[in-house]
Amino acid sequence: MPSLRMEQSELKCKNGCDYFGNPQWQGYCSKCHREQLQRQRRAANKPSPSSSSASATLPKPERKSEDRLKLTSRSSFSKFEEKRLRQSETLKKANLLKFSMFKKGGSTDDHDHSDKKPEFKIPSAVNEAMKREFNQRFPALAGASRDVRVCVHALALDVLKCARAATADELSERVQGHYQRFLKHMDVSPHFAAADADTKEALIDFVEKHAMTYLHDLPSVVFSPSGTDDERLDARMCERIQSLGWVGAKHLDCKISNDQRARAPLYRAIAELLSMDSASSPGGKLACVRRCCAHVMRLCGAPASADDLLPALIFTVLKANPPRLISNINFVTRFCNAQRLMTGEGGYYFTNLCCAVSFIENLTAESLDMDKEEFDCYMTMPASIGGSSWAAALSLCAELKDAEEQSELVQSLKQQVATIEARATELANSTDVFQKEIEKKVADVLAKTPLEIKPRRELPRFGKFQNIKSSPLIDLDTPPTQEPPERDVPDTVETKEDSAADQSQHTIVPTEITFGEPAKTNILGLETPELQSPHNTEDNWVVKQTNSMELLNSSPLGFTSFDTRSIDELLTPDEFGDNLPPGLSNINYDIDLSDFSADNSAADDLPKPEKDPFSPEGINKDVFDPFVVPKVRDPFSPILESFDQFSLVDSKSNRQSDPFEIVPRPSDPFSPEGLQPEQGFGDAFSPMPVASASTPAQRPLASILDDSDSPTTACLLPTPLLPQQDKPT
Amino acid sequence: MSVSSSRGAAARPNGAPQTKVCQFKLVLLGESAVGKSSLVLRFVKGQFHEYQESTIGAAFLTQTVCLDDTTVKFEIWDTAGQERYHSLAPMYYRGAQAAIVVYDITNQDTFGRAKNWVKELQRQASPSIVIALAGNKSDLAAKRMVETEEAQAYADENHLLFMETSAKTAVNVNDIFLAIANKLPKSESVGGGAAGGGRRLADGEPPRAGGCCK
Repeated sequence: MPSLRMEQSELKCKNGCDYFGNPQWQGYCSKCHREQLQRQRRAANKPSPSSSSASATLPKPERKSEDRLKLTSRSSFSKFEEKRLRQSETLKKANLLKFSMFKKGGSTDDHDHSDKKPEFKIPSAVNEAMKREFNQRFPALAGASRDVRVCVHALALDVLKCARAATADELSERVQGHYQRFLKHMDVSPHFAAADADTKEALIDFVEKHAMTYLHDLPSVVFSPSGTDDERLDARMCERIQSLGWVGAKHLDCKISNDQRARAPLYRAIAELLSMDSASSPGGKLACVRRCCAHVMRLCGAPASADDLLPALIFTVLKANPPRLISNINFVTRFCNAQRLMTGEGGYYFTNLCCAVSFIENLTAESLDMDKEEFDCYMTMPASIGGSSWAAALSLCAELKDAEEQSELVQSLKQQVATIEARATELANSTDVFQKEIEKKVADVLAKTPLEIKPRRELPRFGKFQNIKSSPLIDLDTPPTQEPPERDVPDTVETKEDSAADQSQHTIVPTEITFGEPAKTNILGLETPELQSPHNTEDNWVVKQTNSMELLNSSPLGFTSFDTRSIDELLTPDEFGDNLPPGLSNINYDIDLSDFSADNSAADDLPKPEKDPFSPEGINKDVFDPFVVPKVRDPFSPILESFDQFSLVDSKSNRQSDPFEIVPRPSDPFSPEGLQPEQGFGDAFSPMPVASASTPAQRPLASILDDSDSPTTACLLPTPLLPQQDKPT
Repeated sequence: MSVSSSRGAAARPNGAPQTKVCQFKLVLLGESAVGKSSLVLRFVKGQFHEYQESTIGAAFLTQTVCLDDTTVKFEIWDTAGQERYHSLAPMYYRGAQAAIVVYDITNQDTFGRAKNWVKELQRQASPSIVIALAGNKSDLAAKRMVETEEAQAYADENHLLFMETSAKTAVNVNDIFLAIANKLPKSESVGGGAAGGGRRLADGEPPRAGGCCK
């Protein structure tokens, strides 16, 4: 069935553009169909279409086919490259078409720039930015702002208008013409009267910058314009540079050292060169080139002349392989203000770049000063090798740099470790020395002061402790000779002591006083003997140990307890007879001892004595005065005032059996008993003044004493208890 | 003679504003190591470093020279002197109003090269270009290989300015630039010369066929 078969040609676009057509688009390809539609629309709007419009649409396919021919004839390009180029080409055309639409609308004559086309306008954002920047940069020329913007508009419009029809060179001419016109306009216009030559230069730059920045972003208008081979040349240049990747500094006779430090400016130069592509105005690109060359100059070292600059720049270009190099160069050469390109630093360096590019393009074995065979050998080498070698070298450089940094770090760390080690050993040594010193010192000290284990401080052995004392625990070591007798003394309280015991007590007493608060002494009126009796610490110890009274006195509360009194009484006996009030030694000797023993046991009861001085004492006195035997009382009275009621009690009880009565109370210090005695004492205190009989006070005491649990009762009291009990009862 | 030292394109003459300012592009040509850079550095900076230790780039410098009624601003473009880059020279001297061809009086070869440069300039550069021939290193008279008379004769023959200079001792350095400044036509405006050449550097007529943008 032949009808089912379609010829290839039937599928193609009717316009002959070699694309496939579509029945939907009247047999055109999409592009041609759109053009066709536009043409028809324009024809509908304008009965007489301008000749340019016809030329705008129709010649396109032809030209494209020409391009294609050119492409196919070029065997060096791969199929892919071809396709890509073709696509970009068509893209360009499509974009151009859009601009041509603007233009075609009202264009009557292309050369009248003053007359603005309503169809075309630079985007307001661009316009605003331009206005802003102008006011910022040229505040003195506010009046010229509009002129400048008009010029930019005119330039852009003209370029867009002619972009399709004109070749790149023609376009360039037009742009240069605009620059020249603007220059002349500045000379004439009163708006620019205030501007000097430099400002005018800057103004031209301003116009160039804004017009070209806008146009640059439009594809294929000014940057690698359609109809030029720029893109293809870019690709070829790129390949060329890749294939020349093996060219090194020595080939180019440039004095780039391989030193790592020399790499930094090279990298910066490469970066600047690469950034040229992203600058959108000729001036911006020139600035990039200038900066790049500045780095290259640094790369060459001290005063780089052109002899050094050019080879180094060539080397840099070879290594950078900047994208779209030819397009960029051509863009600048075509559309940069020619005067600036001819003169000034920017122009000079750009010329150098052009020279470098030209040199690279025409590079031969001769120009590298090398063997032709060798050169060919290098050139036939796959491009990837050269390129990759450079890439590898670059990465190697980076790695090398890293390695150097790392090694530096390692070195510093090593040093640190070494110093730390040194210090550690030093420290170890010093510690050794120190240890030895300390050992020596300790040995010395030990030698000087041999260890003496002194008897542990003993709580009063009276009362309860007697039991303990009997047990071996208490005093295994009995260093001081005096102690045993002391203990004996209390023990022998009942027997009422030997003379030895008395003496030991003498020693004890003064120390006690020193320990005790001065208040006590005052109270006691025993100041002189106290002061007079300095004693060894041992004695103190002895005292403490021997006399529980000491403990009582030294209590932080500082109460003047009956203990002190009892002590005083203890003191009184033999030796202090002179100091003491006369009556004491005689009378209370026995009683005191018993009190003392009792006090020792009553260590906890300290707080109670407090109460005594205040109310109870006086009361007691009053109460007890009658009871007390006048002879005994009178001598004691001054001392007794500070005494507890108990002493009073004692005194009163003394008549019959003093020691025994007093003893029971001291049994308090031990916890279980303490509570009871307290109560008992409290009772004793308060009730006693009230009731002269003091029976209640005595009863609890008796009850406490009755408790046979406490050691005191067991030891001391049994005998005393009886009389006490007898009394109340 | 007054030479006001300045660097950079923005240098303004310090004289009265009504004095005419002319800017000229001057190209330095010559074999490498004949002292092009030293000559320029001496002229612009008044410096000479035997071993070139200063960090100034000498590739592009400007210097202003005040004449009687005009101020001449030289824009000095150094070129790479190596033989292999010879073919690139036209890019440099395109649009130049003046050129100094430098040779080393102690090296006959450099004089030969200088002659070639002159020939090339006369052939390819703008016809109005002012060419000066400078025999540098005149301080090394003992090692002289190029006789002054020979060079002078060649200069006269080709209508060149000629001086033997020494960047080291500064002999004739300012003089040669002043001579050029005097010889340059001051009537034409600065920008006028730029209209034609130099604009299309890449796609113009580079020396080699198939230049970069063809």
